[in-house]
Amino acid sequence: MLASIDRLTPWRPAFWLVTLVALVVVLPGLSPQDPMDSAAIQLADAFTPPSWIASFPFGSDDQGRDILSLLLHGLRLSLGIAALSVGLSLLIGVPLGLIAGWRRGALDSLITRLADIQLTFPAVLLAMLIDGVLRIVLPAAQSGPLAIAVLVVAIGLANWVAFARVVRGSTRVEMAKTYVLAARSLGTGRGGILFRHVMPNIAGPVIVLGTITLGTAIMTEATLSFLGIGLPPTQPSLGALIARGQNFLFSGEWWIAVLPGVTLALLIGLANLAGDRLRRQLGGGAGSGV
Amino acid sequence: MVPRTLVLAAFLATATLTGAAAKDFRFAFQSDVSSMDPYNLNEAFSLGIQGNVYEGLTRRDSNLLMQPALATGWQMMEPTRWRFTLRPNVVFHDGRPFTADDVVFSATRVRADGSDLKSRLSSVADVVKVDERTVDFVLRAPNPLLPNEWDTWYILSKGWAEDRNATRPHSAQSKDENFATRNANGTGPFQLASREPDVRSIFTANGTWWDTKTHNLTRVTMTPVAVDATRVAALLSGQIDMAFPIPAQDVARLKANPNTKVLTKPEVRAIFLGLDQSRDELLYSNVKGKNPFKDRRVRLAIYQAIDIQAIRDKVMRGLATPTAMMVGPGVAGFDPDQQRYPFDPLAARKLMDEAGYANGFRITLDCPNDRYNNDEAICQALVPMLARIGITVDLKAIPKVQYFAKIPPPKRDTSFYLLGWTAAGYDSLNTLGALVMCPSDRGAGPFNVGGYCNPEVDRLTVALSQEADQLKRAALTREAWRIVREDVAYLPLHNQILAWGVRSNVDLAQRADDILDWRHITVR
Repeated sequence: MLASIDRLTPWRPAFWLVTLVALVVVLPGLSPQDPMDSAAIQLADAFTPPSWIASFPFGSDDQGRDILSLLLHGLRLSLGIAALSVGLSLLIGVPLGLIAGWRRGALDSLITRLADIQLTFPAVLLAMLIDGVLRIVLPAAQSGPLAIAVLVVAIGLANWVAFARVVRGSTRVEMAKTYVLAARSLGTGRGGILFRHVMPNIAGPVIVLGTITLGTAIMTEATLSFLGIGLPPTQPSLGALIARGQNFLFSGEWWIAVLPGVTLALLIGLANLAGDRLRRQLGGGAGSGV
Repeated sequence: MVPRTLVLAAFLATATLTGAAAKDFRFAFQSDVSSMDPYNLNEAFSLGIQGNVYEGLTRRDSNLLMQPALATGWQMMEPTRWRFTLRPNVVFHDGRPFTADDVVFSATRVRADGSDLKSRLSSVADVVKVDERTVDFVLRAPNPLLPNEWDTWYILSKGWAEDRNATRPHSAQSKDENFATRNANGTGPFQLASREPDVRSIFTANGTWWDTKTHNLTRVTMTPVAVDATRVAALLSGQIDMAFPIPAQDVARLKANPNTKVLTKPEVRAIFLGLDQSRDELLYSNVKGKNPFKDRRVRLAIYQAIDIQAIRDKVMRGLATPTAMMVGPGVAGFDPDQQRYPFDPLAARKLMDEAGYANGFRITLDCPNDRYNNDEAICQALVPMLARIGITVDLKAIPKVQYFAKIPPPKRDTSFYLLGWTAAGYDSLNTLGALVMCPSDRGAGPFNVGGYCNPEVDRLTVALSQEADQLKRAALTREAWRIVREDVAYLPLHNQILAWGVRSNVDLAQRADDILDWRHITVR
């Protein structure tokens, strides 16, 4: 459905990216309440239903926090964690893919087999495992800023394989092309060929894959927080908010779970749309879009 | 050849007969028992479930009145010597007869390392077998309440435990197990048929139980369901016959449904906050070199910063009674006239200034998330309240399995924690002895996690443990609680109002200590 909307609109993919960045940078500043400032929260305001004329346009949760502010801050947190973890996946996956595609032989086999083994585990399960191990190693990661770092590492480590595989495949194709031969005959070193000549030529598929992985990473973060093993409960996270809200679905306080759910769906849709448009624009072959 | 219809009719008849006779009862609590070993954890829910399989020398009826159980009677031979006469013709589930040896063995086992119920026999110096049906308890000092807490000191079979190599209890704080962890052999009205921890435990009625049966069940299935909404949904859909606790927001919905009903009752448990007052530096705080909680003004400031009425109205939705006491209504020594320090953020701020913490400090609050009604939500509500007096709270809410391995002594791995306590024996003495007395090697203050110490309270508690006169007991108790309040030793929050959800075709008695006693269940 999102794809067909996209086809109807003549906007450029840049627009989607700008939208995402705007969500991260601008909107939290406009939120009526700072959910990180716990002194501002009044328990007496809890369970206020959404109303456009009241001080809580999207209603309030069971602790009296403004849902609109929570959503805006939660979006920033979700996107930030997702972006950082995609960055980590890139940092691990791209060099490994380049090396595998260039060296062939034993090193190639080692990296691809490692990737194959990891692919047999669902990313969410793997992220849960890494998250759990890191928390045992670092007890301080239960709360505070370290919890965010742990999440980034867990999600990043769970997603590097796709990058390594795409980069490896593209590298092998590029290495066979004549410009590489030309560079080689000019006496350029292997590192130079790989990073100065090959890498820019495979950037397209990597960027596309990165944008699509962003959507997956957002979903993984929400899943972990929903399960209660992601961010601490005092942090505004969309997944945690949905988990909290589902306790009140029966009793009629629907907005606590439904509004973050809709927001999450929109965010992931946006990330995928941006990836889809980029793919068509850059002509990359990776990913099938939405 | 027998006509087909006859076969069918006969089949239907048997089916109806067994259908009428087989009464399944399926229920869900928010977590599982810590172990089937009845000395593993001194926690009301686990002990309550184990009490359907195991029995003590005494037991409680549905109004919490003490009755004889495995003992038919007892008398005080002299102030420090009690004689218990054991019930004849009682057999354990595996067929072994119940004898005095089992009582002596259980008395040794409950006081062994790893037992969490040492306090049940803390006043007992020696247990002597007089004959097969008589046991004497020799006390260190007179204890008029000796059998009061023995409804949850369960008797194990000596022969079974020895054969199965389970003579020593295992601690809830370790991951060790023994045969009694997943198996059980008691004398009670139900026996354990199968157990999958955290998934499902199945119990069947004991056909050779010594007492007249007051239930009509053949099978009981216990399923832990952690998510409130899922537990309520299972009850509404008829997948289970009973669920507890029912979250406050769902009470109205269950009442409105013709197939379900809600039983409510004020509970004897008190929910409270504890503070580490013994370490010279807190484990989880940014205040270094000193312990702010040693200062009464800081403790009082936190107390007065808590808007207990808002917690009652919004988090508990009315299903709680704010309290100033560490014991609930129905417990000897509960004083309804004792007043809470008033909610007053301005006074609290002033106290913080006076104590030298005008800029506040940072502290980690430990909280279970599957033990008490809305436990995590209560803790979360405290975060903004304390933020307004400058205290930044990092909330750490974890499941009770991890929580009870972390909070109690010897680890005491906390600076600020939430806990609930039901006075075993329904006398303040238990709470004073377990939570208020200065912790000692002799077994005093086993759950005094914060390490509050006041020699005067200790003196009163010891005197109370030896006093038989009711009027003097009341005076001693009142004085002890007055000092505890004056010292702000703990920050009491509220007594929960129990809410149990039950299908309409089930009749059961709701006990005020939140224990589900299957003896009182009938399914129509």
